[in-house]
Amino acid sequence: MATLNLTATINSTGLTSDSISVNILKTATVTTGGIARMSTTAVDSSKVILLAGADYPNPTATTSVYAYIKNAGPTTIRLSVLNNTATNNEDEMSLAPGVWALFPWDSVGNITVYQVSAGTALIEHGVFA
Amino acid sequence: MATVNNTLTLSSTDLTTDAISLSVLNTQATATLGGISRVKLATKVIAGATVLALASQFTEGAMIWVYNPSTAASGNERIYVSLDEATSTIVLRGGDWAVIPWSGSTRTTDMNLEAYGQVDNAILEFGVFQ
Repeated sequence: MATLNLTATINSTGLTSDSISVNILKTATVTTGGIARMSTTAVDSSKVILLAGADYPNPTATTSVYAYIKNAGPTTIRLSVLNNTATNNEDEMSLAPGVWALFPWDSVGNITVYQVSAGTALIEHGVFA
Repeated sequence: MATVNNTLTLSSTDLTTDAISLSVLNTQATATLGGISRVKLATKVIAGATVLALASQFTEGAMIWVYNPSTAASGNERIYVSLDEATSTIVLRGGDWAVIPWSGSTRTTDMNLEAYGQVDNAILEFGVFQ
């Protein structure tokens, strides 16, 4: 067993009359995980599996599986956490270059990915369970 | 316009042989929409789920923050967040948070950001920034 600390910090001054300052720590007990990078040339007609649900434990009643994904490449990528095979679906998450996402993942289906334009995407990811 | 900085700090000293410590930043430099709110969710099913944000007001590049502040140890106070008004895209157990990008009206069909709870009167904290 290991301890994973996930801290979200959101700050903004000037967006609302009351400045925003959020700092939330989630501490989880995990046994698997790590950070890695992969590349792909997939586009909408050739989307690929970024993370296969079968490769990871599933959440339990009280524990989550956390997925971290960052677009470390030069082109926008789109993810489906629902294993959709179509493209431009409403559930897709679109990550511009440099953008990250972190979310609890049910790890039943796959997370699929494609680029919005041809090139070589570089994707940093980690799954912690 | 305002700047919204959203930072993830992820660390573990005992998961792998090499300790993990990363800090990544999302910056929205020209944000005009957003804020932090807590809401009581209306339903326990997707039908009639609480609308957190209208797709028509946001486009690709919007950023969603959601947080389940429940401290219940039972694991029975999950919150389900949907991007397509049909299925649960993200499940938040007590204490879980998520930061996910959202495309709002950029997709083929406008689908609102919605949420529902596992129990009556579940509370969700959220913000959508763009």
